[in-house]
Amino acid sequence: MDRRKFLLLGAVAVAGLTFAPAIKPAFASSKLEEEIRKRLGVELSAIKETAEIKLTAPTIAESGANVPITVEANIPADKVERLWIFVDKNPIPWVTDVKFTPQNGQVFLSTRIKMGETSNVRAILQLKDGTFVMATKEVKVTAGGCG
Amino acid sequence: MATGTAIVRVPKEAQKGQVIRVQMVITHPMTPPRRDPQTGQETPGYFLTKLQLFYNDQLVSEMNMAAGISANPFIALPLKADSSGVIKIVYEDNKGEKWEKNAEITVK
Amino acid sequence: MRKMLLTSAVFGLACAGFLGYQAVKAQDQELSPEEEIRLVQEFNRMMAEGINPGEIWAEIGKEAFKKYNLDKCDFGLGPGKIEGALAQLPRYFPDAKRVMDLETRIGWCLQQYAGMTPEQVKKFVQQCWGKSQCMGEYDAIVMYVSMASNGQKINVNLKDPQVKRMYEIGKQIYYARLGPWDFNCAVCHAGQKEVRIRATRLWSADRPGEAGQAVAIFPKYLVRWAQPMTMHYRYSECMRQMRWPTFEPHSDLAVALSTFLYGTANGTEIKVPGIGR
Repeated sequence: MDRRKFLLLGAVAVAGLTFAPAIKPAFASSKLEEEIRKRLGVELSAIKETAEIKLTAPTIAESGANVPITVEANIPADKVERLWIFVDKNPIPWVTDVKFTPQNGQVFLSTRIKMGETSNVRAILQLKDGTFVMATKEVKVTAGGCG
Repeated sequence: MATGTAIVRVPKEAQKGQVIRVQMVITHPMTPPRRDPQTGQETPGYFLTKLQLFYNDQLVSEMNMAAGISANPFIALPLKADSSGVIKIVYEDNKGEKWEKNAEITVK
Repeated sequence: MRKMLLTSAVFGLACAGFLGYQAVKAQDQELSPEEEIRLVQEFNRMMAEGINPGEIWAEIGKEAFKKYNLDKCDFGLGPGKIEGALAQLPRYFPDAKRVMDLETRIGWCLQQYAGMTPEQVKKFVQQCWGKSQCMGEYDAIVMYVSMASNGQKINVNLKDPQVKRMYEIGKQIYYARLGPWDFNCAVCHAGQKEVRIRATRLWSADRPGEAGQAVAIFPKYLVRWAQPMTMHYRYSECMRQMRWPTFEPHSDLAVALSTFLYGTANGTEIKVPGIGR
């Protein structure tokens, strides 16, 4: 192989490495996408972010064992079927789901979840009209120091 | 020893139609299932699977969960206070144990 | 010639793209140390909301308190009176002829009123040490009695000469280089300069209010062990990490440290249980 061909091949290889992560979804689903497809019957890409859901989670968690999350939605409880919580990078991305009825008065959940590593947390609302909306927050899981 | 013990906290009183928070904390290890990398043996884990919220015997909300929820979890859910009475949580784990815990509320 | 230029250009662009991509990816992971500390404090604040799982130990402790006849135990305010007890400890007890902190007094009362030997008390105290998700009656009793002082300000009587003496001894130990590593509490928990272990900023006995913030929330529920930690267990763990000689619960060493720490914390409002990793 002459030098030119070798250089060109090298360039293509580097370009491929750079952009491969972006190309990947077309060929293979992430665990998160599979979980969402399995449990919600919908594609993650079809779920729109909405400002109607307020997802509060710490930007940094000193320990992944006990991460406080709170979800509060402006959408009335009688329009909502279920709230789903997913953590992208957990061994099982599905964490919990809650069924709401009008007697709840509001869509709200506060709890503590486990996270194995820095990851997105997603609060997905399944609405009674069959659509899905979501809010996403990244939580950085660091190592705490003391003790 | 005390797995399944819970604290349920609600306001003592509420106005009719007011949305209150039902706060709970439940003792449970919430151990995830494990697969021993050497022997290949699997342990099923030990975790709460379901929590139901009842208001004067009416089922209001249901929460499904597994070991992705923290040990001794804190959970808070909303409830529209319409009449005085009993707020009850019923919860179970993957070993089939089931518990319940009540709290009372006066609604004006 | 042209072909070579073209090839080099493509190669160069690809490399630049690759490096640029890495740089952008790395950039949004950078946080200044001040920002990181602020966010970790925010995390601890969020964790402290809601109901603390440690409160369940207090419910168990209420039963254990009666079971072990601790309603006969005088914590300084009369037999069985626990409201405000933690707030005025450590103090001198003429019946035991010792200054005692809360845990030491519980240990003494277990011997007097529950028929335990000192060895049995030690075993009772250490029942959950080294474990996780352990529901021990001793930890439960400490939690129950401690919570009965919630809202009250720490008020150790440093005017009492016996108490003052223990305070001074505790202070000496705190700052004295000891053990094979010449280590002491002050290495981590003193001075004006900030000390961090990874993402955790440590409190300092020399910065006003910080010792109080640290001790006024003990027993503290630890999420990494899913159970509460008492002061004496905390001393034991610190000393193990400092390579000091093995710690004995309820020893004069413990009481001296408690007197120094709680004495320094005078005025801080008690808020038990705390929560942390």
